[in-house]
Amino acid sequence: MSAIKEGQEMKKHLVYLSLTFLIQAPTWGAIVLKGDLTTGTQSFSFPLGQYAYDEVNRNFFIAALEDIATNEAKAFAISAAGPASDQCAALTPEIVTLNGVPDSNNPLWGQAINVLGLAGGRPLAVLKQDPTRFYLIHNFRNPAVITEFSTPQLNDAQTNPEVTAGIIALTAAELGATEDQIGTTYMFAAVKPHNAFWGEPGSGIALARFISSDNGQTFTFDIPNATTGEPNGNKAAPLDTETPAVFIENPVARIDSSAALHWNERLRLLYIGLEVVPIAGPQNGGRSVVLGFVTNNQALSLQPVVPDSAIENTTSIVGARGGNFDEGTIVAYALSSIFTSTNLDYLIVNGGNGVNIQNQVYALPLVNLPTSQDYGKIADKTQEPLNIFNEIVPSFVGRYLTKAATNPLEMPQTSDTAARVGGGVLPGPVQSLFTFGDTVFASVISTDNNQQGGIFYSQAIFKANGLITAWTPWQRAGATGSIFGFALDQLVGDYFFMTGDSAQTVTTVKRTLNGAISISDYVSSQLPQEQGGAQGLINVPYNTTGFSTTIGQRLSVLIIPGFEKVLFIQNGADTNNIFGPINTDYSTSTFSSDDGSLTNFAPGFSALSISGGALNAIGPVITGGVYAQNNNGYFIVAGFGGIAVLCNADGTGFNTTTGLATEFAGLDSTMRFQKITDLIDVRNLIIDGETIYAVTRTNLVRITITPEMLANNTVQTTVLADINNPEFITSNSSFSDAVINNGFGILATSVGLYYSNVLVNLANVTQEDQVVWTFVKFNESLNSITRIVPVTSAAGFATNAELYILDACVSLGQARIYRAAIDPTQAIPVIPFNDLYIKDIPTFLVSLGNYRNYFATDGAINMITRSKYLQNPVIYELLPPHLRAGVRDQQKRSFMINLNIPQSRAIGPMVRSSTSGSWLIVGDFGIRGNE
Amino acid sequence: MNVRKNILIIAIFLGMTQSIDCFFPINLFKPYDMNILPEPAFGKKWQFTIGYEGGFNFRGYAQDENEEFDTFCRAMNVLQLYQIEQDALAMFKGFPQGSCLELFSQQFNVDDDDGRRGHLIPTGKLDVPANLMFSARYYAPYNINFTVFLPYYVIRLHDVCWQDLTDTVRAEDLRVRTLLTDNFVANVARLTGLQLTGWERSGIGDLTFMGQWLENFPQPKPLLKNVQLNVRVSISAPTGKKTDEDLLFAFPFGNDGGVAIIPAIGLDLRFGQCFRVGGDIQLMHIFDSIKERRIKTNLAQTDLLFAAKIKTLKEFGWTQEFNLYARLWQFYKGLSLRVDYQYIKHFDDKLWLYSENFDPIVANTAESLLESTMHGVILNATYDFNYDSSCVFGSPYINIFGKVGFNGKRAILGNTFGAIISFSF
Repeated sequence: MSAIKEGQEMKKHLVYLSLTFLIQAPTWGAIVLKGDLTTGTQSFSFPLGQYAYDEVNRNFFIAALEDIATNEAKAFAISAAGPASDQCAALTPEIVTLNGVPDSNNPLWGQAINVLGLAGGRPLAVLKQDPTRFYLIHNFRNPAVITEFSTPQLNDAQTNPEVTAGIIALTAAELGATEDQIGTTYMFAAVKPHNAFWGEPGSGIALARFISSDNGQTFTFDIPNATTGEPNGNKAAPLDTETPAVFIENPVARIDSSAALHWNERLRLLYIGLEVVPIAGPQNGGRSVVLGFVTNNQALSLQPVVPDSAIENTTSIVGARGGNFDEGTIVAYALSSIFTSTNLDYLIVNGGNGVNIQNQVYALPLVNLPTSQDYGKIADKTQEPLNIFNEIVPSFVGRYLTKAATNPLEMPQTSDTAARVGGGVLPGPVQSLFTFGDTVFASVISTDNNQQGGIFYSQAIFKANGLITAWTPWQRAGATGSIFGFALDQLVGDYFFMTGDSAQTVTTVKRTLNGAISISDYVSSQLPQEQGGAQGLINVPYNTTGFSTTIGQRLSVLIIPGFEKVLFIQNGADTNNIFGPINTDYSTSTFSSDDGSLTNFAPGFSALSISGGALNAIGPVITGGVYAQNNNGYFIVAGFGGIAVLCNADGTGFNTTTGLATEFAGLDSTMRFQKITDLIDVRNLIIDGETIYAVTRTNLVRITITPEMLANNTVQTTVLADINNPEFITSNSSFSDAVINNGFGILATSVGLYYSNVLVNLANVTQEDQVVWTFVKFNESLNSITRIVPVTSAAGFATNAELYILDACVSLGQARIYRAAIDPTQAIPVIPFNDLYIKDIPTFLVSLGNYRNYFATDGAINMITRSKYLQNPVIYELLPPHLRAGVRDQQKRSFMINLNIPQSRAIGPMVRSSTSGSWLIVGDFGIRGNE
Repeated sequence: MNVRKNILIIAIFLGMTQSIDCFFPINLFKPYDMNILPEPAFGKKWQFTIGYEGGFNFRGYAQDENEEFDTFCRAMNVLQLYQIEQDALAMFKGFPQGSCLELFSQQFNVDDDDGRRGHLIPTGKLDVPANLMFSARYYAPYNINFTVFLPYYVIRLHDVCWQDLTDTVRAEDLRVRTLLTDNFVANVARLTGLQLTGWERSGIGDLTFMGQWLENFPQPKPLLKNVQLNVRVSISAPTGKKTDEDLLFAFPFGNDGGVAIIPAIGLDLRFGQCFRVGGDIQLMHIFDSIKERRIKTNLAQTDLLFAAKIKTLKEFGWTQEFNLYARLWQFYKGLSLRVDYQYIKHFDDKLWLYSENFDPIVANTAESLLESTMHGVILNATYDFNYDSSCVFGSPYINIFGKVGFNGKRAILGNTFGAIISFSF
């Protein structure tokens, strides 16, 4: 069996095991994975350093930072955490088959691993004690019969090569770089010169070929001359200060100690990240990224990732010239890439130009047309993508950028919103970088704003033509704390992560899990299933207007409404002046009221459970929020019976000058819920700055409240859209959802998607007829728009944004997801995405097959739900990874998530906690999540 | 003169009422049912018959004839014949995008139909105050006779009640209640034109013409004394009241617009002087009929709540009827007693739709289109005043009967009683 076939078999086996486990998973909540330690809060008795993630088989590999002292633990020098078990598998036993010789002593046993990489899902390792060669753990399916291969000592790139001083980075191509190379795995190693440092003459990229022959029975390493391709030439391709791909005009002054190797499997190209310091001079400069590829004669060719002409100053992200380089360098600390859901390729770079730039991440478009002479280079950012179709039946083949940036105007700049991942800097230096789908994840150890470290993410925002136009602000994802390495199991949404007090004491590996979370029991007890359970979920972040900004006093809140009842749970607070999620026993720290008031309340509670009073008139409460205006802040909730506000009898709310503080300090015992307006059947409540909007089944209404109005019960409403308007009127039509941002509104109705006129701010409209609602035509649409999921930058709809639109028809039992771009500068500001299956017919991103009631996405995972339908249980499933326009039948590969809620009848919506980063989902079962 | 008189008599009958032969699976007698046909009056030219049948305790027998499932409920309400619960939300599914009913269902797009929301349990009482049966038989030479049959029905559905199972705790519950089930009957009538209240309907059934050849074959055996063979062919004309598509469960009084041909054969064996046993097989083929019908548009729909009404062609399944009987014949003067077992099976019907907006596969999953069966026991006591061929005027013949339906599938079975009287001239 060839190595490739064997690898594929192993993948199938592991995936099967994974699925089996997930279906049967008996326990819930984030778990500590077991390493050599099987009890307690640590996984390993020794510190961990390197890690790698195999996306295909969903294995998370971790390696020892230092030599392991105890014999019992030495087999865990490299171990693998898979999706199928909470036990990490030890991959470095004392005895292995090494280079085809059975019962050999394992050179990796108990060794510190300097560099860890992957080749087709198999670990590559460089030992701290012998960094001149690397090892491939070829077969680890059976821990008792592990086979390893080692390279000879790798030579440097000198004219007369000598043994390298050490390998500092590794990566590999999963398959041969071209079709005629199938059967060969290419591995790339950044090697130091003999007795010198990385970047000095003689540094280079060594090429190793792992060749299977004899019908997969024999494996050998070949270390060719990487420059010429000569077999067993054992010479690295030079990459140093004088490499033309690195310097501009004149050789750079130096290349510093870091190197990042990234193999783009889709493009089959190697990207090398460097830390470059050019020499001074107006035309002198350098590039921090070098492009590499394997030539037809099986040599490694290194090319500039962008021509000199495209780099003019110090804002070109991966290159600079003419700068004062004493003040900083051109750095690519880490590299990754994404193949977007719009079918374009981007290079992700952590770094940039200057100092203290480890908290910056950029995205650069790549030329991805294989026939282009610029293939793999940074693309001209001004070009329109080229869509290519089959000739006979014009079905979509791919979308391509064809031309490289050749001048500064075409080159992405640090100020470009399209390039600036997160729209700005991360709250701390990037510890580890991970990409998936349309999303960039980064972990941060410490922050500069008194927050816990953790995993953050930013999602790409696209134009209708598929190009990235902006990024969502960095938000929390997955886990909080000191995360030294992580990966997303994209199939189920779990995070693997390594945690410890410092980089030298990382001894714990955890995995988040779908299922019950810390507050599940509490929520279920407060909102029992027979009363409908939790009927909504509102995340109120710590930086909400009206909340205290005083360090030590901050809080974040989850609002969980139910039948005639609302829970306010403080889920985040300052601990030692560091803000983060809290874990407390809410059952002993809850203020309860059954008359809709805060009578006898005094600050000091972690949760409020308020029922009765005006809430009885609301009945099922489904939504809510926090509204602040003129020094008064209010909790507002809404549901089938209308809207209620928590306020004093004189109409005042909590004081927003001092701000609502931890343990709900700022609320008064005199407050009670007061029903306002005569609206009924409220579907959504939107708080846009200082304006409140309510979507009911038949109206979109703006609500104006002041303390006086509340005191006199004269709250004003202004109808902005009425189902009886000519635009919507069809017998029995209705509204389902709306998104309003910066006064611009998008309305989901049973007769289609509508937007308000750009020139009218809904916050200022005085009469309904001032608003013109315009229909957005989506090809092949059911026009049954039920949910709108906006994806925006910090500027919201004031700048380019994106919408995910759930088009779900109850009567026909069908659902589709469309996308639209928002460009407020255009006369037609809402433009359906050019998601294509057939030429010239923009259509849906994905058809979901059957009806679904909620959709949520972070660009990496896409979640859909359906409440119990007849005898069919509730559905919570993840659409297949790498959801992409133009790919048919994607929904058939959806993965059902078992939340262990067998008796449930209702599920959704899904909301991400801004405090913990966890996805949360509510239903009649209460609350579940991934944490 | 005689011919004119005969025509006049037939015309009178036609004017009074019309046919017989309904195939909705309810165990009412058809006037040509061999169990209540009067004895042939040999030697007479004409035989006129009038009958009455009344029914009570009608109940529904659901799809599981063999009670394989624990949930099977034997004595179901007639309105639970096809499903115990009716699904009001499913009623609005399967409609084209943008249609009135599609938009109505779109309002319930959060939690939808969870198996309780929008579900209602219907109950009602079905009475048959009268099933009048008229026939006129003409005896032709060669043991051939011709008969025309016409039934007249008075049927009543009353005390209809819809019990709403929808909860009241989630927003979708209240939305469904507010928009649909709290005022269910009025809302459904407004949206679909379907009246979900009771009704009383009366009218004729399908007019049936029957030709019969009946021959006795005396047997010179010690026990078997006579073999009587009869062969019948009937044609039923679609004169009966059709299904009222806008009324709840308002089934047809005939073949719902279909012409039917009904061949039959019977064998009667007489042992000794008084003991007779026999059997009879009758088949009915109903030709396709075209009319507007309510159809199923979504797999979850329940049969009492079909909102879509479109032009359809109905392809009827065959109907088989088997009878076995034993009889004490004229054991005391003209008095006879008889007990029959009757089994009727109607095979699946099929709909063809004159619309591309709906799925014919879904439409044909309607429970009411599927096979139905009925089992019954019939008791007769008859007295033939002409038993000794004495010359009694009109040779009257009286039959008092009762029927007990005891099992079936997708059928309404009740207990009925009645009487017929015939005169021969």
